[in-house]
Amino acid sequence: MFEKVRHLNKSTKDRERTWKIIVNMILTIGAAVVSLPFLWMLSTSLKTDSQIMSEKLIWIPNPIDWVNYWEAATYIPYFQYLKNTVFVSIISVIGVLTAASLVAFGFAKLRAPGRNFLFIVLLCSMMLPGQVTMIPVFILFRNLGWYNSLKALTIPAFMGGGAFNIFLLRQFFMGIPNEVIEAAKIDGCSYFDIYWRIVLPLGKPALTTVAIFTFVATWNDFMSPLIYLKDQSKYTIALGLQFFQSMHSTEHALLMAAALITVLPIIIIFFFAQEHFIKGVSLEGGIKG
Amino acid sequence: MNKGQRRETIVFYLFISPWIIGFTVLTFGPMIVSFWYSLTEYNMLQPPLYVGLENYRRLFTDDPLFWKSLYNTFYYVIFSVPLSLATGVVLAILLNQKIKTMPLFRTIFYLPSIVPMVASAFLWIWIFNPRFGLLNKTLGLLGMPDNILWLSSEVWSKPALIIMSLWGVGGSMIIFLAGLQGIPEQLYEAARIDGATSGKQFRYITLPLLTPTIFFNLIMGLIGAFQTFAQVYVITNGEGGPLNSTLFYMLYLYRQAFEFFNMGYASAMAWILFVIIMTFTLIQLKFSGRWVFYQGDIKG
Amino acid sequence: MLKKRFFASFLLLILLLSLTLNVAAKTKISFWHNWSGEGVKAIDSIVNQFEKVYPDIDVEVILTTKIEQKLLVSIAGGAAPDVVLFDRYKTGQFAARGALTELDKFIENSSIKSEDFFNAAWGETIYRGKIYSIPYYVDNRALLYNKKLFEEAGLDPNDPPETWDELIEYSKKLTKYDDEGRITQVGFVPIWDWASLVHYIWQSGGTVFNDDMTKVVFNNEIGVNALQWIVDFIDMCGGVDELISFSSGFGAQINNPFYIGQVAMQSNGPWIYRDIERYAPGFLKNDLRIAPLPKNTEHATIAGGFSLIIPKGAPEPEAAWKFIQYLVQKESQIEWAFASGTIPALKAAAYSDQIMRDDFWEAFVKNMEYGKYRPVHPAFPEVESYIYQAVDKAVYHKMTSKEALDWAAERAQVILDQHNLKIINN
Repeated sequence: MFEKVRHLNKSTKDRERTWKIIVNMILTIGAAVVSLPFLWMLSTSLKTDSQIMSEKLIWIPNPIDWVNYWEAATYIPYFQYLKNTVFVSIISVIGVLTAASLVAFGFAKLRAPGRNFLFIVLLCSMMLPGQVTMIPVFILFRNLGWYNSLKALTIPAFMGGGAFNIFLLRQFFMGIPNEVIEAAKIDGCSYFDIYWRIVLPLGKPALTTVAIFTFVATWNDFMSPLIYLKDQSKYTIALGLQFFQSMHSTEHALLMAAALITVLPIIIIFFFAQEHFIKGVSLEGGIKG
Repeated sequence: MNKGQRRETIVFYLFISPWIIGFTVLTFGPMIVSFWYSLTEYNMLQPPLYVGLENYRRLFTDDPLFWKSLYNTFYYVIFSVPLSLATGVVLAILLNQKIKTMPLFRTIFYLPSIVPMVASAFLWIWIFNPRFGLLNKTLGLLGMPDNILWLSSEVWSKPALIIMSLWGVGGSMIIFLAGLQGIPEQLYEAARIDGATSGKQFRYITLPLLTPTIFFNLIMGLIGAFQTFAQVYVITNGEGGPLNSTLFYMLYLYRQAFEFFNMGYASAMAWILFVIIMTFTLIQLKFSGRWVFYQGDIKG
Repeated sequence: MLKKRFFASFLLLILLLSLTLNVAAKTKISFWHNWSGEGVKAIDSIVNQFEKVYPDIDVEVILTTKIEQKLLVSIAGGAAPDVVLFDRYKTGQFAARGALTELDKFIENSSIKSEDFFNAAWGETIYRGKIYSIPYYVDNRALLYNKKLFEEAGLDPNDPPETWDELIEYSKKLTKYDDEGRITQVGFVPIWDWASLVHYIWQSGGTVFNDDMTKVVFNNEIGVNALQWIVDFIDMCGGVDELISFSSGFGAQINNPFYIGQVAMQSNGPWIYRDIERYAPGFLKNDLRIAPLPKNTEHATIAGGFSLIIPKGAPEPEAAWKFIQYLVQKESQIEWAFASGTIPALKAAAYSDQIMRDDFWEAFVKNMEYGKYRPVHPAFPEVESYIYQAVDKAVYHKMTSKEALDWAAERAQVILDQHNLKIINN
């Protein structure tokens, strides 16, 4: 950083400073706009019914109704749903990390006939809408006895880990110099050793990215639980939030409270992991492969 | 093929075997099966009854809701995808500055994309409420018309959903951010030494080198937008109103499959959507050569 | 001594064996429903009583949402439950696909008699001459109105509107506007709450299908006039946009527009009881009045409700039948209906003092007299979705009433023909 600044003349430095101030201002305004709905959510979650329906714009509830949070957690079996969601998300992350990293390593660092063809097939499968396969997969899972079981939401993660994740990891692994791998081979390392001792540790940022994307996606997945879970005691939070809306009315304050406690863990994870998170995405080389 | 090569081949296939299994079982097999269903009358209880191309014929010639849902979906895709891309790029460039408060800003802008769909849908129902919603109130303060019915209006319901989609641009923003960080700093240094202005740097370095990322997000955005489902399902209570103005393709497919139990018909719809997305992607791929620029191309 | 001990242990062994055998002989049935709150407590209590009477049957109670969709896939997957509390309106859709067990044989050898149940409920269990469910509870729609607002408008609350013309006249007097011409209070809106073109057609003496369900007839003169009446009514109120704008200011729960006097009359059902009791007890006691829906040529209301069914492929249909019989006994009918806030399908239970506990319930039980059921045909749900679309098109003035209904009828006829063709082929 310092190194660079020394090269620059004074007017550029000034210009850079003004630029930074402008950026900061734009970002602050933008952040305010983006977080307005979010603050509204927070504010709604602390309101009594009469305040929610008020004609006036109330930002700071009076009185503040903290009870909503407790009620939200008891109105639906919140902790049961939370347990299911945590379980599904963690298992899925493990599954995706294991499977996708194995496959990505294969595509990135091993040479074999048919590799390029299979990689194109993999890329094409990203373009396939899940709905084309939704119904047959449903029938397959049902025949396997995974219907109404969290298996339907977790086991698929181990079967390849998703084309998007494989692609992301493969791009990152490509960046690991071949010389490192050749040297390891000469030292007598097996391919699995190379994967386990060299590629995985070096690939940590990308693995973090994939882990967070997977975690968020599973945490918020609505479609799969809707289709595969029958028994309410197996519901995940994303699906369970629906119970706040009944035929006659919606418990707005409770819904917002429940949603906020639901996203809180993700916010915290993201805030602290974001440096790694962003570094892990490398699309250099692009889709061309 | 020598012994080492043969070994490497075997190891390669072992490593990618989870994907091969997954692809065969979860993608390729079901694709074939769903194509077969699309040629049948099937309600999941009685065995499928072969009807040839009847489902496709009915869709194209006999079902106004199919066309309506297709129109709605295209409307949404055409506006929401480019707008999301532009918003994502601009945000990412701003968030790529070296400022101390950046982690906080990044978190704030990423936040909306992690709110569970059900909750954000309800949140937006409130924002769009004609009487005491945030949006109309704000428009009123700015002296603009504040009596738009938004989600209850045939004209404004789709724009409302597009506005809503912009709020969740965080995911693609992150990928843009990563793309920006992948651009070598030396290029900018060299440009500065040559006296290039920020505008020129953006035009001749940032934008060209960001094209692979833009391309990636464009494809992903298209695929996602064509398949929009959860938010419309929650907002319109599964109905796609008013006047079918939010009856999106996936919503109609879902209703056919799981409300009227016409699985064969729904499978035909799924295949048509696949062909549409495939066509769009191929067109993009074909034209990508003209504007997408890979760093690898300079190197080798 | 040794012999004695041997004998004793032998006895013990026999005892143990018989115990385990007894356990193994216990039949397990599963029962699906979608009730929460008070309803689920009553179900648990009734299930406990049942298990005492039939100690060899264990009932597993499962609460779930989207019950029809899940039922279909679980039947297809060979994992059908034994008894399901099922929206009776879907009988035709499911029976036509072979998803339900015919109950005629069971009923023959039991004390269950069709005449003990409300006609509108029993009729809806029959598809092509076979009985597929036993009614559990019923509902209907009535005209609910606010006595205080009637008095303010100079109307006699003991003389509610009896005909469509009177309804318009009353509604005019009960609708108020502010200085800018925006609605502040509305008399009645014919498409709000639980009103459907279907019951307006019935109130005019019309039907959706012809008698043998081969032709769509809702677009005949009766249907067009009924829809036109709705359209004119809404235009009289100020149009659909003004009504949406007005209704977007509605609150829920304690701010429900009906409780706080923003809406004077509505078409609604007994399911609102729990909410009114909780959020507006004073309104319930003092100001709420109930009358049959006004007639054009005759009184009629949609009667709906839920039934008990045994899915095809249920593992224990015999035990399931015992459970169903228990659930529709007078005492269990009263216990459940009282707790959940519904009307028992069994007439003797519905007319009991516990159910007719106040004016509210008396009015709704009596209103069953005008109850009619929607056609039991697999095409009906999809046909109805087109009827709703036609109403939308007409009230938004996208089409005239005639055009809208003709458009919907054309679609509906195609769907009806397809289903009828399938029925013949089977």
